[in-house]
Amino acid sequence: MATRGKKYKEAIKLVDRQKRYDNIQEAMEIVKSMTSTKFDASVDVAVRLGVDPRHADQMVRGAVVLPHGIGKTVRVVVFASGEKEKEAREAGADFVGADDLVQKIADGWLDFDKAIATPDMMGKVGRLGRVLGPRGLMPNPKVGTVTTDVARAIKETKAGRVEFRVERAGIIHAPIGRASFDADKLAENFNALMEVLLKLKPATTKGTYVKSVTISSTMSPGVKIDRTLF
Amino acid sequence: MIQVSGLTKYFGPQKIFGDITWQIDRFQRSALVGHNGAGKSTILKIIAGKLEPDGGSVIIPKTMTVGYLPQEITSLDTQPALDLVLSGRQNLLDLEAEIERLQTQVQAHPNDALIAALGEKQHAFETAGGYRLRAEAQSIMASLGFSNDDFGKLTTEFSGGWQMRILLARLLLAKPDLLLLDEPTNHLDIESLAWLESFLGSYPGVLLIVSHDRAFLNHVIDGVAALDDNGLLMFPGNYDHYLEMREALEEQLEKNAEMQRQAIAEKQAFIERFRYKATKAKQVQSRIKQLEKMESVQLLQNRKKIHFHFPTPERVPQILLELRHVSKAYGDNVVYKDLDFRIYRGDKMALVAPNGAGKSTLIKILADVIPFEGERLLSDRVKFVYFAQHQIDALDFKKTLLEEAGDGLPNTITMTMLRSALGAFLFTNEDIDKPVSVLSGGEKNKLALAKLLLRAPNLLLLDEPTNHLDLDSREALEQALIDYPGTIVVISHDRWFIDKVCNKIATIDHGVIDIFDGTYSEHEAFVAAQNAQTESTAVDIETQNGKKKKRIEAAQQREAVKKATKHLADRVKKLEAQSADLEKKIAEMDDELSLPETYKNSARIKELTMAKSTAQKELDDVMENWMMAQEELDEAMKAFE
Ligand SMILES: Nc1ncnc2c1ncn2[C@@H]1O[C@H](COP(=O)(O)OP(=O)(O)OP(=O)(O)O)[C@@H](O)[C@H]1O
Ligand SMILES: [Mg+2]
Repeated sequence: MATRGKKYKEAIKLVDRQKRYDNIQEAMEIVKSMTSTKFDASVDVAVRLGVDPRHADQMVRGAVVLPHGIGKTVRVVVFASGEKEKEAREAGADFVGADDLVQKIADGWLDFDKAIATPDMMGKVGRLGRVLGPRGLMPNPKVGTVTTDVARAIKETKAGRVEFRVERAGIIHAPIGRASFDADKLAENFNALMEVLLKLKPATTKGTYVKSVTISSTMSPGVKIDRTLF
Repeated sequence: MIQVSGLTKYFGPQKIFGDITWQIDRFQRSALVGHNGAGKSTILKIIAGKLEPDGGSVIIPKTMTVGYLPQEITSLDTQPALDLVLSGRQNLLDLEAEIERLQTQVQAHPNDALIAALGEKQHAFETAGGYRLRAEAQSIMASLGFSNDDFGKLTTEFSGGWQMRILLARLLLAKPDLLLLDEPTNHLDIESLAWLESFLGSYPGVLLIVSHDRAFLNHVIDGVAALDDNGLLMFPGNYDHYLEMREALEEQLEKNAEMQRQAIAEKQAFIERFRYKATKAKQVQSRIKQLEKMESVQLLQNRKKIHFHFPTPERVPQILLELRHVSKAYGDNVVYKDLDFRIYRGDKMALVAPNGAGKSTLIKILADVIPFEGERLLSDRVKFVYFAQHQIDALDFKKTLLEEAGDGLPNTITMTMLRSALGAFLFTNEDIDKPVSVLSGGEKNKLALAKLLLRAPNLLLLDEPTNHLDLDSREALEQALIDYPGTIVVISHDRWFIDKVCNKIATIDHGVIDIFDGTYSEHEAFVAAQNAQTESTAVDIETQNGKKKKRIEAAQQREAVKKATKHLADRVKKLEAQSADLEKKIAEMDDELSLPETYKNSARIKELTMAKSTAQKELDDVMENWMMAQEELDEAMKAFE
């Protein structure tokens, strides 16, 4: 905290802590202005939902392809063989393999950001649960990373497909781009995320669904968005 | 909320407690205290559902999970320690197995229904922390003192104390909504105790702890339930606060009782005086009624204390026991090398050292119960007894208390003497016919002590003799040991106890034993003063001797100094390495703390912050030791110049 202190204190002067911004673009401008230009910080959204994640049917989880991506190259590995292996290579996967890939990862190789698998590989991939699981890299059909349509999964991931799921306190965290993006692009990404999130509203939730929305960059304080917009 | 109502328990004709009513609220952290044998463990067992009450009920909401650590180990399934700890989250292990099965099925027949099912299960597993389970289990075990090699070792290869730690680790991994712990600190060393304190400090559930450890309770709890023959009394606040309140309450009750006595006396006097006076008949009648209605003030129960006197031991030579050139190592870990050590008549010596320095090892060598290299010379007529850290494991649980106490005693001890000795340990006539297996933890410990002390030993080797003992019994043991005319070597975490009993303090540091003549407080004062004065004294010597100093062969000198101060220099180096390690660790944690990924993960932040503060504390200690060692080294070097 000590190292962050000074910049953080300067930044916090810029933001009206009480205010709930109803103009998304304005909010994005403020986040951008609070962020040091020294390195291109990620801009993140935190949404607190009125769900109880302990109930399986209130577990909000999904993925969205952001129109402007997240400004980062995503390295994708694919577990596939035969036809699918070829398809994956053509779609631009960074590494494709079957037993060899399993072995490589078991030996400690982890230079990738996302793993995709075809269903018929899951028996093998399952053995990597203890390696991939804790890092959030385990392919899962629920978020579309176990699929026969590998080409599409790869393209979407590369294009800025973002996965999210509700955490213990009912909060969802997701990146929506970088501080170097134009404010309107950040706003469009944000809107795309919110759209998907609203669609995922569980039927069993009672009361307010979106309880609060905060946008921040890695190093900046949060800017609160008026929740009644949603 | 947990509701205990009208709880009553008998063992045979003996009523342990009656009509206990207690409401335990969410997030409450209570201590349950009371003298040995009061029934604390019995209440915990009933709440845990391990024992049926004879009356009353315990109502726990159905959704609430309950975890229970017994005071004594029963028996563990033979399996690797880590597996047993993991079984605290059996539901997750089952889910993991099911996921594996589904994965194989999906691989063979990839159809949509199966794939969807796999997705759901995998998702549930991930959300419940399944992928972090093993790491978490290992981290808890490590915090409780297990090494990496221990994870795979079979549970049955561990000693009783370590088996308890395995069970504790399992519970802490499971994190039940209601956590019942019966004397959890008896099996821990100072480091793991400190960790447990901070872990329980942020525990997300209801805590109910039986313990006599004052410092521990003060850290963890926010209320005390005190059990005695009158029932259960509730005190908000920590343990120290409870002791104060209890004392105040006792005074108040005594005052009330005294006032009542006076009132009664006055009324009785009035009745006596005017009994036959017709004009006062009405007033007399009303006073008689008042007397009948009056309920006598209930005083808090005052415990009798153990009042034990040792049989007078036989006189022994000046030196009772001597170690010559003793070496001991566990694998690569050399604990003692070429050690010389003597125990003199009348020594009441405490062994003081951080955990793992070799206190228990030394006492075991003295008792001749483990193999070692070198000589151990026991003088004529020395009769020693050894009280091991888990001495109650050595009791025969099938015998009755009386049989077990009498087992192996010399013929000179008559049955009457035996019975009166047991009475001195506060065992009643009902107690002595009980089988050992049903005795409470404190009662077992007292029995184990009584058994050894009855043998009229002239040398006591005691490893943590106060475990499980309530405060009164602890004090009584203190007094008995103070009065004891023989010789004692003792290990105890209880500084207060050491300070009262011991007249010599042996500190162990990297296999070197340093003996101080005096009490524990005197030793502490001495160490503090020495640290403060090191510099000035060194300077004095310097100036006085300055002119007389003659040149000796420089090389020879250096060599001699080096040799003489080698152990100090080694120590300084070791501490330097340790502090560098710790600094590196802390820097790494700082790095991770500033990562955006961590920043979003509150659990990880908490984990890191806690680990960091532990490391920081450790570093402070290491730095302090390092400074002391450096000063010591400087001083030693100067003395040679
Ligand atoms: N099965 C049994 N049969 C007869 N007496 C029993 C049985 N179980 C326990 N007792 C007695 O009940 C009393 C209460 O035992 P309990 O273990 O609850 O005490 P405690 O308060 O936990 O004591 P400690 O501080 O020593 O652990 C003891 O006197 C014990 O001997
Ligand atoms: Mg008990």
